[in-house]
Amino acid sequence: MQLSGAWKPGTFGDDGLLKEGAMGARLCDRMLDQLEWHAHAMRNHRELNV
Amino acid sequence: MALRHALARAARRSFSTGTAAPLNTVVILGSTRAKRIGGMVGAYLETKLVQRGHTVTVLDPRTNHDGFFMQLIEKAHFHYKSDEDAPPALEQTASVLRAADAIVVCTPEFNHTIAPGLTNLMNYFGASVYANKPSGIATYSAGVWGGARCGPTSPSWGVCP
Repeated sequence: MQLSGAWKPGTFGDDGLLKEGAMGARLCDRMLDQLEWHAHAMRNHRELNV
Repeated sequence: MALRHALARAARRSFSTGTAAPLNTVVILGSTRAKRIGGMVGAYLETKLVQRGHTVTVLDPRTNHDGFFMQLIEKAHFHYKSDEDAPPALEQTASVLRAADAIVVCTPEFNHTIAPGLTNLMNYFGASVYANKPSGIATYSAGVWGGARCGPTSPSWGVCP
């Protein structure tokens, strides 16, 4: 994921987290979807080859 | 053919809804500034991973092992022979990375590449530590590209982009 304009006011909410709905947050969700899929597949692969 | 597609969709759903076993994930921060955006991006990634039911370990060069990774180290973890004692911080960090199912690096863009703090934390460990583990690459910058130019340098550790 890429977070552009990270220093701009309003990028992060009052809780210090990225604002939901922002491009960075949407990209993050998609990145984590792919990461989960690959991580499960690769863990299964590692366990099969032990 | 339709059945195969349906099974593949079901498999994707089971992963995305967290019904599969939780993952052991590691978030590695690259920024070493006291006041930094990286901590906030890292906290966001940690929150998202925890919400998905995974365990998260944050490796922060600034705080882990009293800032051990804020300085250059004499030699890499893989250069220590079996009869030599590697520094405990190196051993413990290698154990954390070995136990990980997935790694997420979080780095600002410095001069079109990754932050030196990230290099200093990750490059002392050999490719076998990172083998067969996917990585997410989260980059950020003040500009419009969001650190896109430093992302492609990260997979050189042997992790999948």
